[in-house]
Amino acid sequence: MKQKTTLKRIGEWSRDNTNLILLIVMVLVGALMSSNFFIWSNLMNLLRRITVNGVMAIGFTMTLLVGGFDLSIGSTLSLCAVLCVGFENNHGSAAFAMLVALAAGCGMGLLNGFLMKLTRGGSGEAFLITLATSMVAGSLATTYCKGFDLYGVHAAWYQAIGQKSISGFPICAIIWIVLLVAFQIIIKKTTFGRKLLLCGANKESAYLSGVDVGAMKIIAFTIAGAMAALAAIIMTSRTTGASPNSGSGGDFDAAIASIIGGNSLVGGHGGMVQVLIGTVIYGLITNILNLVGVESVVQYIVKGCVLLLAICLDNLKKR
Amino acid sequence: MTIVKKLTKDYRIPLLTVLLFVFMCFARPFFPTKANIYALTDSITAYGIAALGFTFVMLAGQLDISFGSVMALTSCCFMMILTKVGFLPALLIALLMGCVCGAVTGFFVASFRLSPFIVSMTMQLIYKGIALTITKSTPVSLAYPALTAINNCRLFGTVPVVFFLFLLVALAAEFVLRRTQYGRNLMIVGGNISAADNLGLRTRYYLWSVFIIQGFCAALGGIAMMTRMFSASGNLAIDGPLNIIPMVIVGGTAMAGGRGGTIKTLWGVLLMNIIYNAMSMYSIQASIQQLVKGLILLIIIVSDKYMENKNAKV
Repeated sequence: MKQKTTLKRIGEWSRDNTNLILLIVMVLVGALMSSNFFIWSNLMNLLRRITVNGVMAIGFTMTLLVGGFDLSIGSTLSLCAVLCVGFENNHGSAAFAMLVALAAGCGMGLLNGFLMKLTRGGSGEAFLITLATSMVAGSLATTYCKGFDLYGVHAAWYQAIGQKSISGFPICAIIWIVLLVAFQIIIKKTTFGRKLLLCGANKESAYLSGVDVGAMKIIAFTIAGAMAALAAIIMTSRTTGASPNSGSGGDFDAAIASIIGGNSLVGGHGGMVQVLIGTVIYGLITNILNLVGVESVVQYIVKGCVLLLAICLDNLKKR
Repeated sequence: MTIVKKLTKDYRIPLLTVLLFVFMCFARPFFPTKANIYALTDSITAYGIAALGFTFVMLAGQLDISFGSVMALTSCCFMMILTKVGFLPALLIALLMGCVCGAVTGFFVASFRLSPFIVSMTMQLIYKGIALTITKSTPVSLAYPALTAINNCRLFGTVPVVFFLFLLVALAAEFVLRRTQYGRNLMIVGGNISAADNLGLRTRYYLWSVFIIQGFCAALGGIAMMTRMFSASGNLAIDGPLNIIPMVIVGGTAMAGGRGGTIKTLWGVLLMNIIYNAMSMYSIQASIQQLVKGLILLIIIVSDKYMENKNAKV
């Protein structure tokens, strides 16, 4: 009898923590595939590589939590990347260029949020609106750099963000983890965070209890835009270049990372712990596929199947 | 007076299309030339046929953005097997494959009741991956005699014959929607799915069917594209959804489902393509054209959704 309850408890725990189990499995697979897996430098490299996607996933998760869906962050990333590199080259000031990029990111996010408020939409509306704004942001990026790739990041501290480490810890990863902790606290411990989750869970009841649902949407989408801009800054400082297509597919990656981690698709459930788990799982999948030597085009299929599995699991949990 | 009212109310889009066409004829002397009419009708066909399938999906209140990759996948397969099995078998296999792709997407939406947006986004990734894998990321180019023969076959001296295929499919689809039991039931399912369930309709079957129709139309559109491009790649029609959604909505098919038709879509396709053609006539840069397309899409979606949710509190 006692054993049965323990089994039941294990079953329940594993149902609630599928993502954590997946993470452990991926780490084990990684360790088996390569003997160098647990070496500090390999782990730090992995961390450095997943940071851009992780920062994007933070923004994406904010829109997911409020009951939306942001497909435009990939194009916003491209736009901010070309603006950041272009302004740094033309005006010489890295700080000014970053401000411009952040402003552009927030602007795109604000536009999405405002349109979401205007249409009183849920995740379906968000999907279509951000599909359209992604087209707008992408064409703005192409127009700004006239279709060419931009090269050259000059300021030393700008390059340091993506390339340098503090006592063996990559600076960009530190930024990412600080952001994760900050947003986790904001979501779970502040009134604002509770209101945000309430909007995602049930916007009618949120409205009836006096929460300004429209404002919550605007804030969440603006955060997503700002995070895309931040990801663009980190990415350009690592690659010291930008192209109008550099963010294409970034929205899918962020969505996969966020959903694998266990954030609910309908909003109201989830947080930054899930983002951390999801981003690491996604990074490990890519890493392991590369180690095995799977072509990048085949990886599309694998990633698609993983995302499909994650969606089905999410649906199963709701039942 | 009633005629004017009826015209402006029910035939807004056809009227606008004709007016724009006439205006362009006078504004730009190159517009009504044979070469441009050929370019216009030739570029409409592929996305037009896919838009007809998309209309079915929208009528059922669903959304499928994976059809661009279905077009790529089926046309890649079509071009790869063309020399081995001949034109007609290749055509049949490609159409069947489109149906299968649609059926897979539809299975997840209809049976698991997953959100069609996210499922189709995922399936787009998978289909694109398969297409790129089987072609080894290189375009498949082939000037097959049957394809060039279709390309050279032009009616009235300038309009390609595949354009008439598009018109034919539009008429047939409209007949199915208006005159058959299936079509009327589909409208009910799209208008109010729980009401349809209570009426005893097998809603799951109807949801599934629209995705299969969409897959079929995407495959047909992909092959129509092959008759003018003679080259398929995994990244073909990747912007298809962004181009087609405005056409269908401008035509007057509601995103919420239950209202609209394929003849309306036909006018929407014509209008949007004349606008795109007109932008080229005024030599607007490609990236600016893309921006205009995006803004048009944005305005259409926002106004449609705004009208739909106008009475909701949040």
